[in-house]
Amino acid sequence: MAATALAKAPASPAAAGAPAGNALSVRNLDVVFGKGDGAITALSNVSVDIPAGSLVTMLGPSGCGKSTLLRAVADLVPASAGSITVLGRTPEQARRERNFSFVFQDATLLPWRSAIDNVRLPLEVGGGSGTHDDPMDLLDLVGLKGREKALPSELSGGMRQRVAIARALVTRPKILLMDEPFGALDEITRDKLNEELLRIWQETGTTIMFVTHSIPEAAFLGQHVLVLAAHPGRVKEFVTVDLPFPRRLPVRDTMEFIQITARLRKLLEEC
Amino acid sequence: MADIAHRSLPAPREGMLHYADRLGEKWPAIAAVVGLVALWQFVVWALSVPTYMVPSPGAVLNAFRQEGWLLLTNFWPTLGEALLGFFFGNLSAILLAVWFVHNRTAERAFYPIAVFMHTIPIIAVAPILVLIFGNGLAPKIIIAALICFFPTLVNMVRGLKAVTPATLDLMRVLSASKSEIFWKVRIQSSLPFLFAALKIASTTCVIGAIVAEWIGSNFGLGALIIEATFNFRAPLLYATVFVAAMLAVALFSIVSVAEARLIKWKASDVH
Repeated sequence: MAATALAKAPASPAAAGAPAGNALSVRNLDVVFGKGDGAITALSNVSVDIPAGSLVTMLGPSGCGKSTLLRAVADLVPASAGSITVLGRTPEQARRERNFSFVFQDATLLPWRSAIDNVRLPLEVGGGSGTHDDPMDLLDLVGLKGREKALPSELSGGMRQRVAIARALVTRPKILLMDEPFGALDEITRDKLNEELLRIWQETGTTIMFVTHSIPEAAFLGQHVLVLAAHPGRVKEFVTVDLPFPRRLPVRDTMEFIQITARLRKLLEEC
Repeated sequence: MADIAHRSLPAPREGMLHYADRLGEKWPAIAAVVGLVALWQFVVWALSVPTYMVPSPGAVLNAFRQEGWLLLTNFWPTLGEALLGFFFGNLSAILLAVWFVHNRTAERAFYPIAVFMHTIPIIAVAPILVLIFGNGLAPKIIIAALICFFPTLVNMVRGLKAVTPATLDLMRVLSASKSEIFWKVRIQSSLPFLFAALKIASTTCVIGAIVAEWIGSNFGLGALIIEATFNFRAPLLYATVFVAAMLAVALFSIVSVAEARLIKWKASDVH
């Protein structure tokens, strides 16, 4: 598979730019928290390839380690065994080169900074003022034109998460890691942001890994759904969602969609 | 109806309206003060209380007129001591807090000592410092500084640590350096905590200066209080106390205005 080719050529930075192949490759990954008797195995022998430019959602019961997998890819959690290759690099190299961005469940905006200044934050730290997009254009992209001077406390939860997405996109990342970004939002806002995320994905061509615990959200957004099982966290199945893009919300009322969600639900019940 | 009409008045008169509104809010307080002063005057007159015991408001006002120069010459040293004490006390507390946050060992070593020092009554420390530093300005400034020191240290340590784990994750994903995290996140998030402490310090530094002046000093509001008491000059004593209180109120107001200017955002868990 292409994954092995990438893994064998980590020194070639050209591979990073290639649209074909895998943006992300995880091999036999174990993540264990703690030591000795109290050790908790969060992930056990996880292997997965994420094709470049794809949108993969991760679904699973709580405790299945879906967030841990995302955090391991983002170099926030160390791998206990196995390997993670992000665009041919280690997670740490990829982080230093700003190859990926992370969107958290909470918007994690700095409350004293205006919307636009929050979007600028990645350009001010970590030596990250290299290639980047205009923060103003990004606020426009996420539908917040005219609110750039607003403080986070003056924005709704959905708007704050839009700012967080704009901030994640400002460094032009090749990969966007999203950890239940819409989990705390009401359903109407969540639906709207789901549609907009698909639009942004198609406009930017970014590879997206999206963690959720909502079956419809996983099916609506994902080209593929990575279903994880719990205790210990492991891969249950890699489901391909055969629905054409661009997808709009009404697709969720079609027979095909309902069949897919039914299948995902069944897989989760087996977990 | 009337309420709605009132709110929708045209904007140009807003300034005056605002002023009138605030006066409307404040009148109970103003009326209460006037009432209490009148009551004081009445009680002193009705019970024929001797002036050396409790002077009437009129007598105090008279003291202001006759002893104005005396009050003013003793006001300046106290103001200077309070301000310098405020400055050095808070500055050293802030610097120590920064050191504590960067060095766990330092915190473990010196924090308990700071707590212990705080439990010694300032009135007991004052004579010791007078013995060491003599009768000049130095012991007064040091005592004013000491009294400011502890609340600021505690609040500043709390403020610098009041950064959510999610924000630290964000900064890590952005490969921010320790100093970037300090300047862009920790300092900013500590400001509400710092100002809560500075407001306390703005009044206690005056107390510190006055207490220091009680012990073998021949200048300052504190010395004047002692002198007026021993000579049964009650109107002068009351006038001096009033000046001291006004000084504290003025410093408190300045800190409050600075806080409102500097911190436009709302912190969630500061008291």
